Amino acid sequence: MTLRQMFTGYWVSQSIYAVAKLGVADLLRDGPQDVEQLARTLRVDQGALYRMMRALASHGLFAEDHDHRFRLTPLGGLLQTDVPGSMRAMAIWNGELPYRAWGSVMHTMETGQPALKHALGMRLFDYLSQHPESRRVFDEAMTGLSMQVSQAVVSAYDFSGVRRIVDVGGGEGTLVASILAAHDQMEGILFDLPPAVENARKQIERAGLASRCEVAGGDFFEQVPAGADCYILASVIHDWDDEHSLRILKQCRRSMDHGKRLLLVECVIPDSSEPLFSKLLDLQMLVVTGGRERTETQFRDLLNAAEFRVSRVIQTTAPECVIEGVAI
Amino acid sequence: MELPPQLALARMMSGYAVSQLIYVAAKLGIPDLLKDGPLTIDKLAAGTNAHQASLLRVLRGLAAVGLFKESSGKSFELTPLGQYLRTDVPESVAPMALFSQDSYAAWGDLLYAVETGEPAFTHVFGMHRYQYLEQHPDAAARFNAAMALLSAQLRRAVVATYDFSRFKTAVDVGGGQGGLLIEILRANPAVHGILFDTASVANGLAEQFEVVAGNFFDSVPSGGDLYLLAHVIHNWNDDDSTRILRNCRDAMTDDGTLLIIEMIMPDECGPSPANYPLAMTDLQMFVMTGGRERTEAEFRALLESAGFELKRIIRTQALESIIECTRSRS
Repeated sequence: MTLRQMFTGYWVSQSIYAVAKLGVADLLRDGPQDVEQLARTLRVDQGALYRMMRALASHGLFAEDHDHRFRLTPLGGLLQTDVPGSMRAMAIWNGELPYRAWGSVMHTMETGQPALKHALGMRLFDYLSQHPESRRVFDEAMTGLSMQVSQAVVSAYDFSGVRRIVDVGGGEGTLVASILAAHDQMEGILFDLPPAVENARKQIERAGLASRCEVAGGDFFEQVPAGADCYILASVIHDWDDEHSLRILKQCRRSMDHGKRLLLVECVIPDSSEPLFSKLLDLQMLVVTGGRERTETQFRDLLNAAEFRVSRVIQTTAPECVIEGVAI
Repeated sequence: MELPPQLALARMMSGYAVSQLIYVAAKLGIPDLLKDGPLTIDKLAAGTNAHQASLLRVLRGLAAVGLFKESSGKSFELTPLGQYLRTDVPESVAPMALFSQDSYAAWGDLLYAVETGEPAFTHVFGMHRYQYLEQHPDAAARFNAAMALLSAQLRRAVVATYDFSRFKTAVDVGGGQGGLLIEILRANPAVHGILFDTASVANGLAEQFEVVAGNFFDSVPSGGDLYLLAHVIHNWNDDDSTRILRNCRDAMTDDGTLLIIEMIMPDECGPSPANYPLAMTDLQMFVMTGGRERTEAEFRALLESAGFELKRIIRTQALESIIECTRSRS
């Protein structure tokens, strides 16, 4: 990638956002369409739409046939709504609040505080609870991610012997549904903020798991459902700084008996100078949530401080690991 | 090296974060601090007044995309690619990186622009880009610095490609700081130059050179046998462009030449790295000013409606071509 492409990367990101938001890829599902027809269906400016699609065609997201007709490529196909590995929701999420937050990134450099808080006047999760539309965009994006991660976790970790599992901050419930689907004796509780779990209830019912999976609304800084033998926190801890993470982990610990398991599903970044793409995710946490990606040592320190002993770290086929802690 | 589609798309989707990281590095002046070799994070944070723990993460992110290199003891140095972010190197892109601050917010409103066909910049900032630049000297300085960088590459390519020696008086319409005109005059001592723009400053070459302030929508200085419009027409829609072109036509001698220096869009933009800068710059013009990059056919139509005949198109080593025109016979 050239330097010029890097510092104009936001041009491409926003173009992808715009076509994802408009749903262009879904309209091209059944074959090529000319831009005039697309613009009419979408009620947008035809000339502008053409230029945007042409720009994305130069990046391989669409292919332009003759006479301003566009069709999907494998790359652009990922922006369809209901395809395996769809990235549409993630593209929409990225183009809205995180994009705005990064516009204030100098604030983070001066203060160490998430730029998003500066841009929106409050922290991400407070904003999401006051803005249901943004909450929905966030949940859909996270569901898209966790579909990929969930299968990897189910294959990598041996859940046999677990009778009751609580998915803490489980969003729309993709992970707990995958685990329960693979273990038909297990029961589960999906726990997240009340607005998030409403969508989850529907998903759980649709998956035919309503009899084995309870849906509970609440705040993990205050209390976590008690009495299960396994607690799982997937991509939750990385949203928070150490102080907040510790509070969440301590709430889990309070609800757990000695010897019970806590599983973190997170990327573990190596404590080295290797240039890795995962280090860019760390910056999303820095700027958007105020959280961070952590090294194995940092996870061990955090879990020890909350009275857990790290027993294993298992790499899944996804970028994430399963970090197994035992309550001590 | 072809990435799997999901990874390739994920990188494009998060490209804005990389852009902003580069902006942070340039804004804090880190590349210049590293020009003599590696420095530790302590020294870099002290030298920039940045929050140290955040700066460390930012530098690691920039290392992940290949602009910095981290060595033991949390010390950082520039990679060969990162060297271009220094302000004191010949092909420095630092001004371009700093300029992104001005267009990032406008691009955040791209969806609005596509829905309405109106430039996003005007919607976000409540006024046209050029009005904004007049009212915000800081932004104008960043813009001029970025454009000067672009035209340094361009003007060498233009002077190397086109023979200017046959002209007596060259009028550079909307010539900004005069970089292109100066380069032409330097290479062609017999040519006299007029730099015409709103209120820009040029220096040197006083004998060969005069500076005239004005608005090219009203009129342009008359009597030249060569008129240059370099990176001007792409800032304007067809109606505005026609007005500028007609004013040039009215001002020039009967046998005069007009040279338009712009990128020429291919008729179709396949997935080729050669097409990225063309198609993306077209969108940048749309977002920022409501202007556009044009295909050859679009240039022909525009020129015809303004009373010009397109004689030939000369490719340069830069992305831009030279479009040579004369007045139509009619």
